[in-house]
Amino acid sequence: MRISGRIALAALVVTIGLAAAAARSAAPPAAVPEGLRLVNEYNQRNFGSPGWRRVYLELKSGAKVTRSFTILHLWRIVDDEVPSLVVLEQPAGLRGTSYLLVEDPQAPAEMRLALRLPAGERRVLTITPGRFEEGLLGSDFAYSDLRWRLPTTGFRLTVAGKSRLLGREVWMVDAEPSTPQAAQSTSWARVRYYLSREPAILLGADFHRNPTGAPFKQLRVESTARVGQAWTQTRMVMSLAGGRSSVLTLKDVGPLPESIGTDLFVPEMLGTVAERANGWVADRLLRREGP
Amino acid sequence: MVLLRFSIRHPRLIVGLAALLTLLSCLAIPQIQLRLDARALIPQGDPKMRESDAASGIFGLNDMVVIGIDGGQEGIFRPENLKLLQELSRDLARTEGILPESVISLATVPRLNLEGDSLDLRPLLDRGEVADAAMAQRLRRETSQVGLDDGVLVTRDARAAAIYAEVDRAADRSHIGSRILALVSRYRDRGLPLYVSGNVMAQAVLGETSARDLAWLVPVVIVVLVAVMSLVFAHPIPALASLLEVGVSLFWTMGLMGLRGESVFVTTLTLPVVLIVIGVTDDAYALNRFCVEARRHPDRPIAETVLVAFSFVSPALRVTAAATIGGLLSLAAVKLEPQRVFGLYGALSVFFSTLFTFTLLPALLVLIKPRLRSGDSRFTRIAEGSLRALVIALGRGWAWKVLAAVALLALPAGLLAASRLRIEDSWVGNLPDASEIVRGDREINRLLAGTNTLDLLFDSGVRDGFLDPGRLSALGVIEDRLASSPMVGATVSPYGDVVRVCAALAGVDYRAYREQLRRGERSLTRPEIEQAVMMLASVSRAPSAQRLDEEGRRSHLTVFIRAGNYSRVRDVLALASRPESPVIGSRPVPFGDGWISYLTVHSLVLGEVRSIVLAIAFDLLLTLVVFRSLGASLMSVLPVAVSVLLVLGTLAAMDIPLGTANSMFACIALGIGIDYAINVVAQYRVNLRRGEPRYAALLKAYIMTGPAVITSAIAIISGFMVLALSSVPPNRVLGILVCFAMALCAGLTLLLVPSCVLLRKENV
Repeated sequence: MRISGRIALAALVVTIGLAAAAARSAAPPAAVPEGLRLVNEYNQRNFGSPGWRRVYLELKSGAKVTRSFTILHLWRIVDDEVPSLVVLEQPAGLRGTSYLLVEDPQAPAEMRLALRLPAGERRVLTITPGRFEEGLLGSDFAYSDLRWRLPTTGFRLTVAGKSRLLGREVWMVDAEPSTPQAAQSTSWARVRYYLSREPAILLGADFHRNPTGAPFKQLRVESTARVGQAWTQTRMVMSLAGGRSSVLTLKDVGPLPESIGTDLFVPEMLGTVAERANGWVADRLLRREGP
Repeated sequence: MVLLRFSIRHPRLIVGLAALLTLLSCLAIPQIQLRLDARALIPQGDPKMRESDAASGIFGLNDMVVIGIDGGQEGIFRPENLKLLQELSRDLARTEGILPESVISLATVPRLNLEGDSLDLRPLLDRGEVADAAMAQRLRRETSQVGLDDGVLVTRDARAAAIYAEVDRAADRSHIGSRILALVSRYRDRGLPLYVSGNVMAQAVLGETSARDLAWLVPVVIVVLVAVMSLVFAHPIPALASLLEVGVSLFWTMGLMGLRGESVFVTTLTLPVVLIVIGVTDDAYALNRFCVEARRHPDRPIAETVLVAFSFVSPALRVTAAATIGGLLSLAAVKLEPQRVFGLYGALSVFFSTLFTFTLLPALLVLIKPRLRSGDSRFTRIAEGSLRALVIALGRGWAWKVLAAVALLALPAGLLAASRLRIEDSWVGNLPDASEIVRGDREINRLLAGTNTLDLLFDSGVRDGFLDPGRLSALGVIEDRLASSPMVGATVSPYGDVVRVCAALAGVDYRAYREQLRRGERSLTRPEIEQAVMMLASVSRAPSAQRLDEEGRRSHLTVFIRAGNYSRVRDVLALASRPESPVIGSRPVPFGDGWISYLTVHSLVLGEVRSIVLAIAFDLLLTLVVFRSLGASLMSVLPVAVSVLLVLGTLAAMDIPLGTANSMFACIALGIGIDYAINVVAQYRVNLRRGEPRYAALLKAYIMTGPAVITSAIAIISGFMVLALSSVPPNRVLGILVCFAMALCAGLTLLLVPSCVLLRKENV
């Protein structure tokens, strides 16, 4: 072989080697994200604040709807807190029942809750730090299941792998209490969240009483929709063994008018909001912008 | 007869075949399941249970375990006692087979008390804090304020507390029973008296005790029967051969049960003992004849002796086997699972045993060739002599007196049985007195609201019916009425729960609020009810979480019955079914643990009483067909029918109630007791047909069959007497009753049959 030929061969080998190295650095193997990072990403998503929505909650036994509620929900990010105001519109007998759920990273269980009951003494009760896992209106959804943000303090968040839900790729993140305070704040030994990254949305959750046992209840999102810049679930089903389930269906959604300020999101206002739930709040929302 | 001849000619083939099939049967025996739950006793879909099953489904009710803690004079509200309650509740929830969410105690029940405008539903004892004296006092105050010191969770005087837990339906009860007893035993180190009860525990312990009993009762029965029959026959081989034959029939029966996936039930675990004794009695006639023939003709070849003896008893034995099978099958007509299994497979076992009496038993005798001393045995000589003397005495005018005396006894016995015989039973009542569960049950019933519950479903017929103040208040009236009964320890219903929430929200003491409602000083509005119901439904583990169905249409009232048993459940049910029901919309539907136990006892006992009639009718029909004479038929059935009547009358006179186990005595007695009379009557008729005069025919029949009747009676009585050693009280009573009935039956047969023959003008 002539010298020029050898040089050409060497150049070819070097070129191929460099190209291969370049290709390796251009497409590194997909890194497994940390659980905490995934949850933080999810918590920082745009969920359309300030906003409002009207949802329909059905309690089901098998295929039979045993009870249904219409709920008005308003929320707004205030500093690092997310207060949610929930007003029960139907059934008539419970109209005026309302609660204020404040997602506060500094609070025990990262939540505060005030409840206003319209009958009898018509009191606004502060639900002191508990597990917030009482069923919302007797449904299988707990107050804590309806938070915008997932709790992270005191929880060990580990990625359990990938799966697909609703045709989307989801990361499975297991949350297990890692401190006595966190263990005291939840009755779940493990919750597996199914988080989609693009778009950032929760598509399911499995709630385990026993870390290794079958889930006690399962949340599955059956449909989603994009509203403005945010993605929202439009139908969610929480199922328990024995054919019991609760279904949340989104009926209306939209941005909260600027005229409804932060002053509404305080426990003292629960009575006022509740009394005028079907008038002042809803009328203003629907008359002005609507979804 | 063909089978008999074949078996005598080919004894090895018969024994080999029997051994092979017995081995195969053994493979299927492990498939038999032991069922301890009361619900398994009644078939699924039974009309009586349809409403009750539906109600259980609506309210998701499971069987309950109760643990009582006696805090003594210092009471339960002491830090160390509360710590025990807290830890025991936690560990109970972790026990395999217990539904963790179902554990209810002061440590788990949501706290409804308001502090200012603050509501913290977490129980004080479930906050990860160690209970101190201040917390103990606070808990006591709050418990009283919300009215939870009604004897269900804690007593009014704060002396004792209870923990309740539901058992997973799929769980193995015997294992749960052991686990809970072990758990409680660990906590006894803390120095407080702890008690365990509940039907689940009673069923588990009863199952275990019965199974343990069976393990030693069967060998003891075998030993006793071999001993008694060896004495009677003056040789052990006939007895051993008979036991072997019965054993093989039992293995075949159990093998078939296993193949069909049948279950044995806690109420009928004595089946093997009963079948061994019954099986041996049939052989007694054949073996008695064999011994007589072998002794009287010692030079005759064994095969011929066997053929003569077994041919002699064959006609009567076929009828007696049919009668026994009929008696047992009459139990199967009850349509309750234990009776069906007992009746059906008992009949099958008797069929096998009868088949082997003419195949395996002769084959064994031919193979073993027992050498019996020549000349009649002492027993035969004494028996024949006594029987001859008896017939002679009866022929001299005693027959009338015997009949009159029997009639004089039977008449009041019948009246007593019809008017005073009562049904009573309870799971706990079936346990040995020394059982931990019996002691626990007694103490929990003394200290707390009671261990037995009767659950009642009220259906308003309309959606949200119980959100209506009128209907809910009517429920309150029923609750108050029930609570006022001394039999009732406490009641729990949606009314009380709604009032509890309203009182808590109003910051008023529960009892004061309820009293104000009763006096009309307050009233409940529909929004208040709806609000309370919503709150209760929201709270996990609220004691009322399942007391109103999701449509608000049906409500669930639980009555805690002190020392609950059959009659108390019946009386409480009657009390609950009175006036307010029209306001509510329907009569209450009973369901749950207490109701199942009640219905089981009711169905079993009444079913067995009905099957007495069936068995007598069957015996009458059978003997009528065989003897083609109404007189002979009546004469055959009379002794056993009168004996059963006399036993029932005695029970009534002594105020001993009929229960699930002891009520079986009648069908067993009817099934095997009639054999005596059939043997005597059949032989008498054979003798008549041979042209012998009536008196001579009777005397000969009497002498030929009487000793066998006595042998059989001795075998049965000694066999069933072993049951009297059982540690399970109803099995003891069953054993004694069968012994009593069979002794009466043997005696009455030997008295009544000749008396009837002697008093009739024509032959029967």
